[in-house]
Amino acid sequence: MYICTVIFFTDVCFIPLVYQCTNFDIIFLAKQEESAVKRIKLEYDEMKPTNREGQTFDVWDMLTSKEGTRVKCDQQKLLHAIRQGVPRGKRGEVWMFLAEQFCARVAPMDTSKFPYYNVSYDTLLKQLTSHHHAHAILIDLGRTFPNHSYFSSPLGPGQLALFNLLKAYSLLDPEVGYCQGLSFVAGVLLLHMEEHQAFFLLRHLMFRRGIRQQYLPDMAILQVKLYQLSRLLHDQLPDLYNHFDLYEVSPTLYAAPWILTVFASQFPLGFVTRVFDLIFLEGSDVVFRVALALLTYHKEKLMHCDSFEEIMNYLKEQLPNIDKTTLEKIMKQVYITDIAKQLNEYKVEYQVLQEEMTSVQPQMEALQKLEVQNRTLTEQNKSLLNQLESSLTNVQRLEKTRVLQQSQLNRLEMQNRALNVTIATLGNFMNSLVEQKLDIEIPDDVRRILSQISLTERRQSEVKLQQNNLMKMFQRSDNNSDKIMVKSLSTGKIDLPERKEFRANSLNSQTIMEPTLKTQQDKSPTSSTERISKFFSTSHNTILQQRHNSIFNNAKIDITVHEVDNLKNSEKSNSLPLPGKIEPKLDSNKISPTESVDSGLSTPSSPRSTEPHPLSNCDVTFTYNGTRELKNIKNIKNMTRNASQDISTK
Amino acid sequence: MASATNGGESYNFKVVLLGEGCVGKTSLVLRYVEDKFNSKHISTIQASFLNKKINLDGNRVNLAIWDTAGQEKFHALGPIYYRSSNGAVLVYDITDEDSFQKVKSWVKELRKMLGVDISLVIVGNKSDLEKDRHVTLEEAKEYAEKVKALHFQTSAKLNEGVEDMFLALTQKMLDDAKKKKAQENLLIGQNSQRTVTVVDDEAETTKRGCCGSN
Repeated sequence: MYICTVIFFTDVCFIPLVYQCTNFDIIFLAKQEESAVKRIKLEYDEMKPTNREGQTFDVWDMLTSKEGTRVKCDQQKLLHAIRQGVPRGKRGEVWMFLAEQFCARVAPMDTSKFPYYNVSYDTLLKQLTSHHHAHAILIDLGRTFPNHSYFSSPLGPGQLALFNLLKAYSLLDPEVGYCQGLSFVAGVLLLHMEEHQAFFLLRHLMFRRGIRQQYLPDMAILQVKLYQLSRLLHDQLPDLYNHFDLYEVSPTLYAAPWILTVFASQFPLGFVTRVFDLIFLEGSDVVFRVALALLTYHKEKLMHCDSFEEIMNYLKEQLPNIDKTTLEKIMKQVYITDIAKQLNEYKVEYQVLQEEMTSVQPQMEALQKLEVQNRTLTEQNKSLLNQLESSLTNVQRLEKTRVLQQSQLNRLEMQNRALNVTIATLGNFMNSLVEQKLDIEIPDDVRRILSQISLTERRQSEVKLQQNNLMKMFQRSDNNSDKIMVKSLSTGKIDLPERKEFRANSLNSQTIMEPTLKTQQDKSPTSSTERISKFFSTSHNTILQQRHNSIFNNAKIDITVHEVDNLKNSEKSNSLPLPGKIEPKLDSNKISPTESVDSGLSTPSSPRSTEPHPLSNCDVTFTYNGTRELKNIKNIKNMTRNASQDISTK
Repeated sequence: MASATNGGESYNFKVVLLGEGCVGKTSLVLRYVEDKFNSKHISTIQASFLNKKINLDGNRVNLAIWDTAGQEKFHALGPIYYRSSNGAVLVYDITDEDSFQKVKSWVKELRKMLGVDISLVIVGNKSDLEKDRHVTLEEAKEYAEKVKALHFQTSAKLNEGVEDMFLALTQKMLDDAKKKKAQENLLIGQNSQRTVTVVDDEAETTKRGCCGSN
């Protein structure tokens, strides 16, 4: 649809009416029309300096007519003339003259990068521009000087001329194509001259006066310019700079239209054309000088705005509101400021900063990534912390239950042990009774009870062994003292199943060391009671054998056991009533008659048919304090059982 | 009113208008802020700024509305305009399918750069040109729903739907802001809870220590 419109426009406007006419009347009419159009075009408040109208007109008449011969004019003289003011009717000519002056002064540019640079306006107009550019230009036609009568009628002569000019330029410079802002520059030119001339001057401004780069797609130069303006403010108007900085008003927010339209979009044309005058004489840096002068002029009022909104509104509404006196004051300052050097410095500065930024960029990106990671990890951490919290309370609760159960277990254990001791002591007492008084009549009931005791004891000990093994496992898992034991045991380099046995044996051997037993053993050969001595001799042999074994076992094990014992003692001694209870009962054993000391070895060793009491394999017996004594008693109990059996067999 | 104001709070929201050139961004803002329609306003070069104060549910809301240039070139200047925006008005012209596609690309960019922190409203402007419609209401609504954006049809020229659209957007931003505030409070609460936990932990360890020594 847009492409069709393009063709239509080209057809209508490409061939200027005037050249097609042969008739004089028509030419006359056309000329009349032309002047009418010119009048319409120049419908703006000129705001030119007072009094000197005739004079300035003459100066420019003289200059422009003379310059047909391309004589170079003195720059100062031209500046002086421009300060006098350029009459709007002469402006087109003056701009053309100034552009030619510039071209004569400066070496021609290298057009090799722009193949269309020298293509004529008419040729460009015949070509089709891209849909993209045509659309962008079209939507801006009604939005460029919409209140100026030349441009106001939709698709009227002004808008058509504007379309042609911008289309031709987009073909000449495909890289820029069309950029918003350009339509205002083109519009200002069109108000003062024909399309052809306007095209020439637009190209001149863009390429030769260096405003082209600010319209390039990446807008990099626009950013440089905004930075330059910011730095200018910083150095020339520090108070205002700080004030703006406080409310975060940067040139990016207000100055882009100034630069991109050369003030044309917001400011009155009388002012804009004065800026154009100076740009054609001195170049595009004039824009900075004007911006600076504007801000300087309004500085006090801007300093009184104390919010972002107020400042922005003032810049948008009040700043462009320029009357004749204001204009003169501002232009006066513009003429005398020279900031070329600073602008160059700022530009270099910006480029250095840009380079630094790009070198820092990867690090910044990495930092951002890390920040994101950090955030997610913090969240994870938070949820884990909550989990940990709940599991900790769980552990606490379980720990409490464990401690409770453990103490219960211990209590039951102690009770059990106490009962065992009682039973054993009673058994022992019975035995000694049998020993001492052979004539004693043991009731069958008592005998039966005795055998029952030994039986249950055996069973109990078996069960206990299992229990204790389990308990040991449990204790090992969290008890340091047990760990020490395991470690020191392992230094003995004994395989695990054997180790258990050896330990038990060594314990037995220790128990044998107890004097009470010895007396019994030593007494045995001389004892008058054959039945009992027989039993004792067997048990004695067993004991000796065990003792022998224990000698072969390295001492470490014994020590270890002691350690464990001690540890356990320290833990349990407070609560264990056993030793005290047992002592007197053992003493009763001691009372039994003792004679010789030796001959244990000479006795033929009986086969190990008499197995050690099941309890001798049991670790618990030494796990707690007082168990050694207990063991003695238990061994004796074993004897008791045999004795009672003997008795029964007898 | 006064009592409501007393109970409410004041909020500052930044709203940015985005969309292809000439879809009516500036007209929408002008209609909303100044209740004017000017068919002869100039192209927006880069951006312009307008302010609007409203009262919503007893809350004083200050809307800083940023009107942007439609031409794509200006996006090269970076996200300076939509950065830290609370809301975005993504405008398309119902007679221009391309402008609707442009809205879609804006949605993508905003979601990528700002996530869900920004409230979006998709606006089909120029509803007075119904006869030239090229974007169906269903299509636009469906899309808006998909990307969790509000959708409105407006005519800045006839002053239809403009006020409603800005109000709905403000309401959404207000809800989001309040939600965020509540979350922050919750977070603060959680933090204090965690501190208590730490104290608990310490007590626990000392207790354990006692057990061990016994």
